[in-house]
Amino acid sequence: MSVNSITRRKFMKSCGKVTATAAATAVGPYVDSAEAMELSEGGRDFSPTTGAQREVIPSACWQCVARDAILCYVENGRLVKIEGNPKSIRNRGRICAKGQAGISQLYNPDRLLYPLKRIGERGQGKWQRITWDEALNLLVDGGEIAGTKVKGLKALREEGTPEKFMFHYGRMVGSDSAIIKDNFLPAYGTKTVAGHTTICEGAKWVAQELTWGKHYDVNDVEHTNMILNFGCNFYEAHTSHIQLAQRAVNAQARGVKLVTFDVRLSNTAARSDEWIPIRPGTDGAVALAMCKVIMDEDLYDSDFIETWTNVTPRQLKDHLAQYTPEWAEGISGVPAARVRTLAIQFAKANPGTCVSYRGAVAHYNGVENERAIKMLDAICGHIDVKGGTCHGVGAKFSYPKASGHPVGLKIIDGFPGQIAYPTHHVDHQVLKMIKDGRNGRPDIYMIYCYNPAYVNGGCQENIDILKDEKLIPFFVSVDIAMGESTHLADLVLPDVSYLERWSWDNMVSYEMVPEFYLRQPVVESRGECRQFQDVAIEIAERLGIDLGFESTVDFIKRSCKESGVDFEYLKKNGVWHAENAVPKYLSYSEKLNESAYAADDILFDKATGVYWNWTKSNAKNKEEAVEKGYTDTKYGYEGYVGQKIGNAVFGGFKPDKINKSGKFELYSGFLEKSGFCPLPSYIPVPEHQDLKNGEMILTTYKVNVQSQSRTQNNKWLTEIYHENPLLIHPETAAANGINDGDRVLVKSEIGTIEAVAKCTEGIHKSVVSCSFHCGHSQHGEYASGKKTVVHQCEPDCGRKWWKGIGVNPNWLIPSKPDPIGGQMRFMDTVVSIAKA
Amino acid sequence: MPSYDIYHLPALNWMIALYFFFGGLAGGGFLLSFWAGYGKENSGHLARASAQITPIALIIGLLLLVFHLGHPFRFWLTLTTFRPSSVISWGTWVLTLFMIVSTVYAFLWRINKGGSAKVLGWLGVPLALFTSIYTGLLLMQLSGSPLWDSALLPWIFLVGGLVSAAAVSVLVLTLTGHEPAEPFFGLKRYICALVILELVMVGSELVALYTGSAESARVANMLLIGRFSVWFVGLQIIVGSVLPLGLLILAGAFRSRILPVLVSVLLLIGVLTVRFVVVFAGRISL
Amino acid sequence: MAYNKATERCKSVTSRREFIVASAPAGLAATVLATQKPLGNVHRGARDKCYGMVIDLRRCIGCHACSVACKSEFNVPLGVWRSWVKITEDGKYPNVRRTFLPKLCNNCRKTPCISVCPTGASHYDEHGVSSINQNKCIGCGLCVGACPYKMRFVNPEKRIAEKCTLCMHRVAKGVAPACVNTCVGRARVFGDFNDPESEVSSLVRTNKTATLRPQLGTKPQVYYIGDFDE
Ligand SMILES: Nc1nc2c(c(=O)[nH]1)N[C@H]1C(S)=C(S)[C@@H](COP(=O)(O)OP(=O)(O)OC[C@H]3O[C@@H](n4cnc5c(=O)[nH]c(N)nc54)[C@H](O)[C@@H]3O)O[C@H]1N2
Ligand SMILES: Nc1nc2c(c(=O)[nH]1)N[C@H]1C(S)=C(S)[C@@H](COP(=O)(O)OP(=O)(O)OC[C@H]3O[C@@H](n4cnc5c(=O)[nH]c(N)nc54)[C@H](O)[C@@H]3O)O[C@H]1N2
Ligand code: SF4
Ligand code: SF4
Ligand code: SF4
Ligand code: SF4
Ligand code: SF4
Ligand SMILES: [Mo]
Repeated sequence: MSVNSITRRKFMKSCGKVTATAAATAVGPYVDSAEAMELSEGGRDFSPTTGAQREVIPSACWQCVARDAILCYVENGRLVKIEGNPKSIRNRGRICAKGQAGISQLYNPDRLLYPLKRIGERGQGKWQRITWDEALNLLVDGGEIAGTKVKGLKALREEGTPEKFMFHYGRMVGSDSAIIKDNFLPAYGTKTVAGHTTICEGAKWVAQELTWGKHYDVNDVEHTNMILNFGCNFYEAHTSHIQLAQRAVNAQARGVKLVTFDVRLSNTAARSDEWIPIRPGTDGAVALAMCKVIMDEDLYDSDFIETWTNVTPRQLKDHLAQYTPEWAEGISGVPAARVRTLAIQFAKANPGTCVSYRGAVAHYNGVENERAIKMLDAICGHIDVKGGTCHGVGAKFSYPKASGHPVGLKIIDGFPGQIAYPTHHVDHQVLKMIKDGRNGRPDIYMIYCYNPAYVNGGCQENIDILKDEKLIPFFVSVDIAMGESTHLADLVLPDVSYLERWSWDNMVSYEMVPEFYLRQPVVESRGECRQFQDVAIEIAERLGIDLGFESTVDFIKRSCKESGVDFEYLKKNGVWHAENAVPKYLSYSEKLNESAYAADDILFDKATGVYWNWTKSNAKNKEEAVEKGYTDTKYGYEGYVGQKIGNAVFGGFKPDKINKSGKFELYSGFLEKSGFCPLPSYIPVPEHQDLKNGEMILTTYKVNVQSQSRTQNNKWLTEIYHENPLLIHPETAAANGINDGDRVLVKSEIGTIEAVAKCTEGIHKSVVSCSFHCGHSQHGEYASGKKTVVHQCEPDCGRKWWKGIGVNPNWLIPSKPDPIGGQMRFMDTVVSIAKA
Repeated sequence: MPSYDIYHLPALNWMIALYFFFGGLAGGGFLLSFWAGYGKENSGHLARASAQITPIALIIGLLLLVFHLGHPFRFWLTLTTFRPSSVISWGTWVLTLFMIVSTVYAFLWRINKGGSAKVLGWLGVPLALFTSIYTGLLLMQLSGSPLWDSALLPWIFLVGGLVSAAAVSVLVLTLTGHEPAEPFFGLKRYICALVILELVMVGSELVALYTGSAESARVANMLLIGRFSVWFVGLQIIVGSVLPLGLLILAGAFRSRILPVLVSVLLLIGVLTVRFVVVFAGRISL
Repeated sequence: MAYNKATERCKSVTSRREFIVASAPAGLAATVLATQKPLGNVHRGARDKCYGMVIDLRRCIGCHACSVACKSEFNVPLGVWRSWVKITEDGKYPNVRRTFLPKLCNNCRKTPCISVCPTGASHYDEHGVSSINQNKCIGCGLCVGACPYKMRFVNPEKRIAEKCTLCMHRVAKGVAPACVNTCVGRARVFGDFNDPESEVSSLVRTNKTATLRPQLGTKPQVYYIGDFDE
């Protein structure tokens, strides 16, 4: 059906001169009984005032990590509407409330529009507007900030200490990351680079790296027969929210059973067939007990266990003997009978899938919880099968990479010896490490899309460190708005928002077919905002470094060319996937041809059965590689080729960041070596073991209409969600003399906040819970009730009708890592409450 | 049952509440004047005074109504159309007619042509009655709120209009130096009866709300013990009705200028509060 | 919750003024005259369309994507909404229920909102949709109070009454409404109830459906599948 045919038919109809049949003939294939008008789901939009069709530009959302494909509608150079891109096989034309509200992110009245230099004390809020040239001179050549001299990037490099430039990012993905992390930073020479994964879901990835290799698991709910959900709120959050939520709704409509373990009634729990309240930090116990039931009942997939894991059913049965459902009930509060029934149903689901997220992993025992949950999937044979728990498939762009031998300060992996496998670093301890100083301190600390003063635990400590010019001489922030951390910076570089940005992107695909997609500017950059990737290219130029590409667009074009993707096609359509691609299940069982592992540099490691290319590892020569073996050679995993099983060699479960074999390692030699139990086990959270009277556990959560710390100045979202009460069970409240609506003081070992108590039956009795997102002190009027220095009025100015701003629970949550992966323990804090 | 909902910014505001007050005052003033005109010999000045109230109150009311509109300058659109299903359409037309009739009526009293005025009064009475009850009818058409969805509302408004007109007349006459035989210009029993009637109707309204739906019971609670209790129980019932009623009954023949002034002011506060409570509590429960 | 019979749906009703005799409390029956209350304008036949929606609450995840899509499609100012999701919770731990109820204009076939309008700004348009003529509206706000579903508001910027238009500016050009377009759960289905072949018609034929406050007799054209708390 073409655009013209509809408008013409409509036109004739409203003229009333043409009969239905005549109209039908006139427009060809379109059958006009007035009723039979088929509506297209989207792809076009019109001005409600003039009726004119709106110009459409495909791009990609970035309001949260899920990064869905979008269509942006523009009217007279102004973005007026965002929809999902119906061509996307991932989000299938749908986007969430945050994605819909992207316009208010772009036109946020508190957007930073030009570079700023601090002129008062840190955090005093006194700024001087400067030009980009002045800003980059200051950054590259050093200069004076509020009377104090600071070194620039050039000096650090010339002095041979490029590692004293630290780059700390929050969200940075796709080509944005490829340009900075794989080009700019190594070319400059620094490896003092940290991200935010351990304040996110780091323990989940570490657990996966220890067992099945590269992270990002995809729950193939579209084809599953049962969903067990441990601590994920996928109808509101999750890193692939739109993809997963849509498919889960379809599954539920097919009658698939969804059971959710959560400490509170999330929307996901509410939409589940069953919500099972659970004591915080005990998901592992439940999963282990389910494993035991399944092993005892002989419902396990012996083929998978014998062939693809590194344990035998016997070993598992012996190990699991301790974890009876009754034991699990004592630990978690989940009735033993439910554990038993659900375990049996799950094993028989053929296949089922276990969803898990931050509720299961943001704990002291997060890695073990995730390993237990993965074991539950594995012993049932639900791994990588259609409808099971699969290895994520995302677009693989090839792109230019800088060579170089960057060096780094040892401050990104936490305190030495504290964390066993900080494969995603220990981001929330970076500032503590800087304060500690024993492993050196950066001279220049640059944050990018990161708000440590708000999102890390322990706000006060973070603020104190960031404010201290002795600890951090030169603090630079790349941001789009005046967030709590940026507010403390010396130099502020205004980035473009995602709607003014160029990048290719590659988020995993729940179709199990990789989707290549592009983010492109839909309007001109506001003010003097510049995409930081372009700024980095200019900085490199000023330092005399040739990155080999001129601009972000140039880099993207080169990447597309290298990857065999048509850039122009992406510009026009937003998304692309190979037409002949088929969903990639059971990739581990792919047999390798001899030619794949018969090369000269490829060694066979007898101990593990792994074929590996030693030249990609850190081994100096072949002899060293042979002598040390695959497992003990640093970066051995980089050279992994395949896994020998019987007489054949398979792709296997490819390792990432840890030199595990190509098997699904239920038994982890690595953990054994570092003093943990090699088989998935239950580790109690120490602080939860003897709670005193009146003490309870504080957990936090995300809500469907807010993203992290970044959307609260978005009027359309904050209009819906602007206050975050402290959820508490009525009985717990009564026991503490608290009534619904009371103002309460919540106290932890590091601080006290005031919140409003909200009694609800939908929460575990040992828990109080408070969402993350609210309680800003900066970011702008909608977020904090205060305009920032850069505020510019917009048409809705003065129409803000709500008053409260809520509270930030991170003032209470101390920055503490889990001992295996360094995960920030957001859901473990013990608190007491009293009437304010 | 906890629930979360989003509410619109309200459409009706203080101007509408005041408009209701002045509309009622206008209608009440006319009826009072008509009644006084046919009353005892010495009630001529009462009839005359209250006749003057009507057009003034009407003008103020109409101005309030017009400026309450989102587009005041489109008001003429209501005069080029007549929509029988719309109470406000009727209202606009009737009020315009009433404006003309009551102005002539007031003028006749002013130039001491009481006799002709009384004749014209027969034409004005139905218009005045309509004006008094019409604001209540108008709210009744707004089925969104249980408080407004009440058949008693027009009659509460009518009685309130009569009370306010009596109070304003007493106030005006007292302050302009009239010294009648009785401080309330013979209106004491009339006022008492009206206030009692109003209290009974308000009571029945509450009963109706409590026996109605859960939603309407919530509204009643809001009035009696909730966020409107200070206004409703405190100002409307106690200060605006019970107190003046008590003063009227107990004061006897107490000859003082303060008392009628005080009672009138209290009564006016009461009548005004009714309008505000109805509009504001009604729109909240929307 | 009363369930509508399929046959009652969208019949074009002949223009007949319906009166409800407001009941006065017994004690006062004598003092109070019975008042007659016109219920609403009735959609007169002739038009061939009966647009509306079926919202399958079993698929709704309460995500508010619809609420915000609608805000941005029409740049709706802060403080007012054409569509939103009501959330209710009940039950006792651990059997707690939370329900989501997305709301929009019901495109009623008998509309109190149209009958109160003094200027005729509120009317049924050429698509048979309950609409507001922006040039005729004086912003008196009466229709806002008249809609028993709280679907109307006075736009604080334009100062005229507005509400969900069922996205007729898109539908007329062959595209589904903005909220339907983004509905994450695919709970919202738009269509013509007069077309027996349409998805909405078939959904109401094959499912138990309910409308909001059917006792008011407004004949809403938004049908819900699944349980809800109004
Ligand atoms: N709307 C929205 N979506 C988002 C984001 C956002 O900010 N907003 N952020 C994105 C990002 S970066 C991430 S990492 C994901 C996170 O996605 P999720 O992990 O799904 O979301 P969270 O709210 O962090 O935590 C999930 C749930 O864990 C529960 N929980 C807490 N403690 C426990 C426990 O001990 N056991 C169990 N079983 N449950 C527990 C919480 O009550 C909460 O409902 O979401 C992504 N999507
Ligand atoms: N208590 C508690 N704390 C949590 C969580 C929780 O559930 N509970 N969730 C955790 C999780 S999962 C995560 S991932 C982290 C996230 O925390 P962060 O990594 O800090 O991410 P955001 O809060 O999304 O964004 C940080 C800043 O980036 C800026 N920004 C937004 N868009 C852009 C852009 O285009 N360019 C640039 N340069 N800057 C931009 C915003 O102004 C914002 O202040 O928070 C963690 N903190
Ligand atoms: S889930 Fe929502 S905010 Fe996140 S990328 Fe998708 S549409 Fe954007
Ligand atoms: S829902 Fe309200 S605004 Fe919409 S047609 Fe019905 S009465 Fe009118
Ligand atoms: S606000 Fe506009 S549409 Fe509504 S009743 Fe008044 S004139 Fe009619
Ligand atoms: S149909 Fe259009 S106007 Fe109505 S709620 Fe949906 S998006 Fe809003
Ligand atoms: S978009 Fe769809 S699923 Fe989400 S709240 Fe609205 S109706 Fe429900
Ligand atoms: Mo995250």
